[in-house]
Amino acid sequence: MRPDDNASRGDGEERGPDSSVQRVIAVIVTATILLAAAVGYLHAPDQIGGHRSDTVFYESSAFIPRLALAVVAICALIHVARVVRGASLDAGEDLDDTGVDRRTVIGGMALFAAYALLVPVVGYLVGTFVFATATGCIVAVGWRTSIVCALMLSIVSVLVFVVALKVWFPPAAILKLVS
Amino acid sequence: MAELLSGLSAVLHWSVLASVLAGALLGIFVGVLPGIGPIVAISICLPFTYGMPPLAGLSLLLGIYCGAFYAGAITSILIRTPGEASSIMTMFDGSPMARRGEAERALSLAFSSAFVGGIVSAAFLALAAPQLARFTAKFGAAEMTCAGLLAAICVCRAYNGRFIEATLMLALGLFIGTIGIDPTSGERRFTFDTTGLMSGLPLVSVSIGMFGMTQGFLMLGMRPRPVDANAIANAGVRWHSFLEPFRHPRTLSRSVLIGLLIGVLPAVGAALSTSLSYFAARRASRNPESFGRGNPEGIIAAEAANNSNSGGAMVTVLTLGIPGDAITAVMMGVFLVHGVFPGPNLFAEKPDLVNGVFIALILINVTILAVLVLLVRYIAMLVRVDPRILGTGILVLCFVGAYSVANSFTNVWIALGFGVFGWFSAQSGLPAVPLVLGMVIGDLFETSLRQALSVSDGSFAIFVTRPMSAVMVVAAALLVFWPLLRVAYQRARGNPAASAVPDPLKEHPDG
Repeated sequence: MRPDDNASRGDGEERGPDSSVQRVIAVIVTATILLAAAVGYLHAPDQIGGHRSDTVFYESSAFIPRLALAVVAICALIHVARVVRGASLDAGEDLDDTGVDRRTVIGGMALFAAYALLVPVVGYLVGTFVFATATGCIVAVGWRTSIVCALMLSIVSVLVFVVALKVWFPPAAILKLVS
Repeated sequence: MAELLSGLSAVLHWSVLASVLAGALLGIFVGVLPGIGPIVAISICLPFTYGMPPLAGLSLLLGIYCGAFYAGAITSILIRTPGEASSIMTMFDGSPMARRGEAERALSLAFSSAFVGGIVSAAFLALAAPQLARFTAKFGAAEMTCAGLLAAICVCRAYNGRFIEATLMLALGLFIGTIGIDPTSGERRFTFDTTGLMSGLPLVSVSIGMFGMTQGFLMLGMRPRPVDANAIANAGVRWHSFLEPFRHPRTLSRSVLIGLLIGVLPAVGAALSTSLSYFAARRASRNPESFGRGNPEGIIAAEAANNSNSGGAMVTVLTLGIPGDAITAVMMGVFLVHGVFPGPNLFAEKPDLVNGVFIALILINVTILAVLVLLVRYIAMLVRVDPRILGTGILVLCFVGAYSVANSFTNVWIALGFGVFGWFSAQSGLPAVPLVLGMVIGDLFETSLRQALSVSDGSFAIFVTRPMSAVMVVAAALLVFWPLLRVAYQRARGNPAASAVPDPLKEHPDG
């Protein structure tokens, strides 16, 4: 939390007005939360194994989940209405997204998903190297820098986590295929 | 004294000492790097503490917590970029002082004020926590329910103007915390017949996703900021400036007190305590117009308050089992994974652990100060690291951190899911911290509420007929309805326009 949401971050950059794209994202996300909460509230008893409708409310395991979902739905409805009416979308936390390229962020998310799929296939060392190199290329730090940083990152992370801290990774699936 | 000696003997073990040093170093690195908060590092390191003794794990995380607050002052002073949100006030006087050639004096003032705040905070924890634990040991289910409710409302109220959004995320966290097997009835809730969800969504994976991955993805999209190499080269300390804070005893003691009291309040956090302390020092000064132009009292006020938060925040964790902020919420994971339940019984069941925390906090502050004095010139160079490379490194750490929770790729996918959700939530103006707090507070709240209502046969009167819970209910109601009460009061005084709070930072002269 910041003492003043409008204070500069100290380097001359001010937070700009929320874009229309961001507003559309906000409406879609909040509406999705609203819908999910409403559906969850209505179907909560069905999703609780062994639930009995004749149980007193405070002994029911559906009490707190339904209460929480009701609060989520009401707050989401109010928030959607506010966003549509033009309220600020500053979350009031330390996440500084001034000037951040959204496409790169989404590309990073896709790459991470590919990383999670790749590691069981090729192993942690190779998977990390490929992920770090690919990420360096999409964020435009240059392919040489990407490869050098990726090499250092993958070797150091294997030494620290796999060797020193004994985090176990399964053998690469590709090795089983080859053998 | 005997208890503290037992704590000292618990700390004097190589695993704890190594954790103190590692935590201090990690915290300092995190604090210097703009854009990464201690919650990112703590979330990522949490799974690796599971194999450590509880005191060693806690020392590592506390070291990160404290180190980040110390080191945030370095970039605030040298390059006018706060390393942490709580270091913004340090920037207002630290940066002008550095620009007139006194960077070493500014850094020394910041470090020594922070040290005083940290040590007093640790002493406060050691003295106050046992007394408060004796008081909270008398709490029943009704009192614990109201304490959880009050903490939840404090969390939401702390987001000025974002009460609805914070409440939404807190309630969502409360719901997520109910996924899995109900501990009271044994019924499966929202598991969709999958064995992976029987034990619920792991807090570590959610924290890593919401904080670590979200930050990592954001940093991929950032451009490197130009850094003045000459400013970085001026990093250093001046020995006689270490005693300068003691020449302003009123400012120093007032600031430490503000930090301690704010630290006890859930979710309010260090940023507010530094603001309050800074403006209190300015109001009390004979020379208020010098604030913002390199007045040493501005640095002393900000840093002393900033670093006296940690002890206060740990008080509610140790005595009630209620976290004061997202950082302490994640730290509670260390307790829970070792089968240790924070709360009033902790002092009777695990006195060595509790006293060890007190001593470790003192040792952490000494270690951080020593590291900064010796290495500040090299630490300052970290600001040159490209945020895109740093973001890639953070994502790799998040991967292995989430995986190592249970050696399962499922947790990596859960963390990724919450990382994506965290970014979209931030775009939608929804804060992430209340969600994690809701997950942690929710368990205590639900168990206590159902117990209390079972005792009273469903009557809510139990919450107002018991004195302590009645006080907390009134406090919670005041917090919820405070804005309305304030407007009504000002209208009754015939001053409707005064409801707008003047922005003190706009009066602040640009140094």
